[in-house]
Order: sequence, then C-alpha cells, then structure tokens
Amino acid sequence: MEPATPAAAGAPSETPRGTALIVDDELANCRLLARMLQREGFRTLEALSGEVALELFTAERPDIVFMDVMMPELSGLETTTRIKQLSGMDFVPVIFLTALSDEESMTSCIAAGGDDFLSKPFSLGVLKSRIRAMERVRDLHRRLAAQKLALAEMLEREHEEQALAERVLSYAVGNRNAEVERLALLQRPAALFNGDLVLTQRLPDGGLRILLGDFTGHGLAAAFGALPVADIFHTLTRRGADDARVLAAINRKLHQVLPADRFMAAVLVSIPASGDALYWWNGGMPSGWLRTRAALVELSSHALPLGIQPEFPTREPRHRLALSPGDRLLLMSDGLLEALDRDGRMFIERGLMELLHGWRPDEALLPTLVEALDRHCEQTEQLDDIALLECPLDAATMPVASGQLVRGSSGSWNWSLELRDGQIGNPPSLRAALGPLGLLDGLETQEGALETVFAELYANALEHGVLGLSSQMKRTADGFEAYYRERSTRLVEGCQGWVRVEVRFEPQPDGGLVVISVSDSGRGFNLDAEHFPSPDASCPWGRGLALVRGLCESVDIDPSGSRVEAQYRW
Amino acid sequence: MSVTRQLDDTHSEVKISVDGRFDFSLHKLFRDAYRDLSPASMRFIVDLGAATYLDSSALGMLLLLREHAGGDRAQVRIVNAKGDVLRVLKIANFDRLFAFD
Repeated sequence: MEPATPAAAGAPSETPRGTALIVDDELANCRLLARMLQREGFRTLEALSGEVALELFTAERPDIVFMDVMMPELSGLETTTRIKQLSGMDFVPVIFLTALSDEESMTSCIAAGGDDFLSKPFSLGVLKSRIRAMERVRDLHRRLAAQKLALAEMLEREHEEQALAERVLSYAVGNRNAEVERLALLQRPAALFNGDLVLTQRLPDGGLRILLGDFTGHGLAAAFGALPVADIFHTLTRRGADDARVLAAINRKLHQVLPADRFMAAVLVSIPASGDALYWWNGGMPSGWLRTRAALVELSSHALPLGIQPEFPTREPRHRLALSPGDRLLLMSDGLLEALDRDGRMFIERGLMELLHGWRPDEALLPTLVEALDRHCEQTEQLDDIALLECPLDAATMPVASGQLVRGSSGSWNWSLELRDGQIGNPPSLRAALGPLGLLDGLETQEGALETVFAELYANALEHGVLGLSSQMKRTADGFEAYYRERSTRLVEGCQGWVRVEVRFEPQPDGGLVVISVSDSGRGFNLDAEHFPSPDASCPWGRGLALVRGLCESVDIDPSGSRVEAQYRW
Repeated sequence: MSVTRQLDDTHSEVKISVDGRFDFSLHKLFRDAYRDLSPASMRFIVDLGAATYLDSSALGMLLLLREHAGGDRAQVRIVNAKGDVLRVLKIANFDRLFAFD
C-alpha cells in the first residue's frame, strides 16, 4: 500500500511532502522555518500558541509538527501530549526545537511524546536530514498499519471460509451416519474444525458398526482427512466388508493423503445383527469400556493408529466379546481424559476412573460423566476436541435386528425383516431400514408411496393381527382416542408375537416393481367386517387397506387373513 | 411434529396447521385443536403445507373433524397439501368431502 505522502520531492508549488505545522510564539522564528520547509516541498501552517496549534492540528491533520518548547500559556510539552492523543493510531512525528540542550529537558521532550529534537540554532542540512529520518519512521509506521489492516481482513475471510468448510464437512460426514436410537453422543470441538470423528453405519444384516477417530492435532489440517475416511467407512460397511478390510482401506488412504506426521487414532466396534457378540479394534485411542452385568471390560489400544504404515497388518487378531441384553458401550477421545481443570490437573486423575468403576449395569453413564466434566472444566479454556459416545446394546439399538438382504441379478433384491415381542411397536421406516443399505437410491420418486404402503400394511398387521384391536372402535372421536390408548397400553404391557415383512424389488424396462408383503402371528382378520367396510368414504375407520389399494397395482390377502401382499409398479 | 391453531378476530374462522408427520401420534393434539370450538358459523381450515407425511389414521382424524364441524353441512377446507400428502388425500377421494384450495 502506498503511503499517503509520496516520498519523492516534487515542484515547490505543490506539496509533495505533505503539510508541516510550525508551533512557535516568536513570529520571526515561525517565518524563518516556514520558508526553509517550503523550499523542501512542504505546505506550511503556523501557530503562535499551543491552543491555535491544537485547532490547526484537528482541522488540517498535518504530516509533521515542529514544536517550540518554551511558550506562554500552553507549553510545547503539554501541546505535544495533546497532539499525540489526537493522532490516535496515526503516527505524526513531532520534532522539538529548543534552545535548551541539557539532558533533563531532552528527556522531558521525549517523555511528553516528542519523537526527536533539534537544538537552536540549527543548520538547514541538519534540519533536512532529521526530517528525512522522521519521514522514514512515519512511512514504516504507515506501511505496518496498512498491513495490520489487511491481515485483519484476511483473518476475517479465513474465519468465514473455515466456517463454510466446517458446514460442508459436518454435512458430508454426519449426514450419512445411520440413525441409532438411544445412541448418546457428546462432541465438543476445540477449534472450529473438529479433529474427532464419529461414524455409524448399519451392516447389511442390520447390525451396527461404529468408528470413533481422532486425527493428530485439530483444526483444518486434522479434519480434511475425515472426508475419505467417512467415504470408505460408509461404502464398505454397506457392502458388508469385514472390520479388517475397512481398517486396511482407511489406513491405505490416510497413508496416501496425509503427511508423515499426521495420522488418525481410531477405535472400531462392530455388532452383528444377532446382537450376541461385539468385535473391536483399538489403534491408539483411549480404552473403550463395556459395562456388562458381570464386569466392566476394558477395550484398550493394541494397535498402531491408522495412516502410519503403508499397509495394515493382515494378521491383526480379532477381538470378540460376548454380549447380553442390557450391556452398554462407552467410547471416548483423549480430549476427555486430558481435559484440564483450573489447576492444570487432568480429568483422568480427577474422578474419571472413579466414575467408570462406579458405573452400574444397565445404567446410562454419559449424563453423569458430562456433568462431572463440566464441573471439572469450570472457568477453563478447552484445548483439545472432546468426543464421547455411549450406546446401549439391546433390541432397541438394533431395530432391524433380523433384517436380511439377498441381492439378485440385474439390480433386483429381496429384503426381509422379522420383529418380535418388544420390538414390534417400533418398526423402522423404509428410509431408515433400506436407505443406509443404498436400496432406495434411484427410487426416490416412489419413496413416498412405498412408505405409505409399508406403514399401512404394518399398522394393520400390528394393530388388528397381533394386538387384536378392532378398527370399528374408531367409529367415534372418543373411540378413536380409546383405540390408540389401548394400542399403546397393550404394547407397553409387553405383547407376544411377531410381524414379518418382505420387500422385493425387480427393475422393469422403464420403471420397477416392488412387492411388499406383511404377515403376522395373529389369528387373522375377519375380512368382511374389518376390511371391506361400507363404501361410505366418510367413515373414519378402515381406511388403511383402501389407501394401499389406491396406490398399488394389486393387493392380495391370504385366505387366513394374516398375510397381505401388495404389488406396486411404476 | 406439531399442531397449531389460529383463530381470527371475529371467531368465525379457525386455521389448524400440521407440521411434520401427520399420523396417529397427533390424534390428541389434533382433536384438542378444535374440540372446544362450537361448529355453528365457524369455518375450519386445515393447513397441510408443512405436513411431510399423512397416513390412514390422519384421514380418520380429518373425518372426525368434519363430523364435529357438522358432517355434510360442514365447512372444512384443506389448504397447501402437496406431494405425497396430496396424493394420499386424492386416493382417498377426499375432494368429495372437503374443499381444497
């Protein structure tokens, strides 16, 4: 950036060196100096008192000031102090002109804010070089100020870009995560960008895989490895790749894209749909914990973090733990262990281990843990990202526990699911069950209708089949309420039974065919009374099957009344 | 998921808006939105602009509202339904029972 006053001397008629303010109560002194300065290319202003000097300074904003020390009323020292206040962030050099040459007066000149002094009488040569020196300092100051401003603007832009990248990244990473009911998660980034990464995805059999990763360092550099990791994790998990293959692929990619000093510590946990076992791998993360009825099991680090070695060791042992209903899993990043309190003590030394060992079976630990962490970190600044995840490993966590996928030739597939007893009140939506498997890709335009068909058939099977509710209850407004009250009562009391769902997809030349069939353990419904009510459209009950008929090419009800098959074609 | 209602100044028109999934879980909220309003000289408007899904029990709830509003003499208008929500209403032939915008 150019300084406001060009340094090159121009024609005397112009004022290429800017404006000089001369302050002296002796008019003759003023004139003499003014003529010298004009010859040097300055425009000059003259003030015969400190008060006038301040007025002129405010009105004209000169580039340099020459100040007499001894003046009646407002002295040169006092005037200088005020001028320095007025110039604020700008640097306007003040040069004292004084007949005094003792050390004390020089010191007081500088203390008052003066930048230099000249002892009277002075020669033109000395004056010229002092002015040059001052201009150099002033220009340097102006350049610095301009750079400081530019830097602040750049920082502001940088901050905005980081915020944008953060949004894109958390969308790309978080948005593909499988929704896991009752999975409790705490994520607190230290910088805007989070070096901690939490990924969840369903296995093709309906099981669950979780990855908690921690990149070295945090901020932008740490987070940009997250995209390929998320990509590999989701794609391979959906395809049914085993743990070792997923880890090997992530390791290879990180080794390729990250510089040598960057890597990702990670813990990977897979729970097959049967829910009777858990497989885990820990490379450089703090221990995970499994609270079973009998014990607190530590899942401690046994491998190198990912991205360090070019190839993932092929003979990595597989760690397996047997699971029982009610077991709970807790995973954490080191930001939690190392969180400091006001006296610089880590959370792991101040209560974390006691909390873990006091963790009772079948009890959620995360709320207690977060409360203790907040107390620990009161009035401190967070230095590292913190991620903390707790997951109960029971039927509700595995809503598609017995989901089975069989892929056929040329894009066809067959997916089936059986929900039993405690599970049957919480069927997944098609989006939740099939979306993570990629089965709805390309079927988006039909998704709404398919969702309706599935939900209506399932509701019939559950409510009329398994729970034995009569839809005629819904005849009146009070009955309508009673019906749904009864429905939830019977579910809460714990009903026995099952609902089996099968979804089959066959691609067709210009569309597709989806066959949804639902069967249940009930005694079968009375077709005449329940499902072919009077054709009166204003009847508030028995609409479900009519709706399915409206959407589908055909709807077949098994003579037993406990199995319905709907064919949807487009 | 929510149900909100707006009553105009003269108490002659009520607008009930459903947000999100319109299914049986809303039955109480939906009924509470109109049960205290006398149907005489009241116009009912159901705004489904923010509804993302509508199932057969929601159809039932709409019919109960219609019944409350006077059955065949009822003035119930359904507005802003679109996409899958509108499709379900059309399959059910609700245009014969309700006024649509």
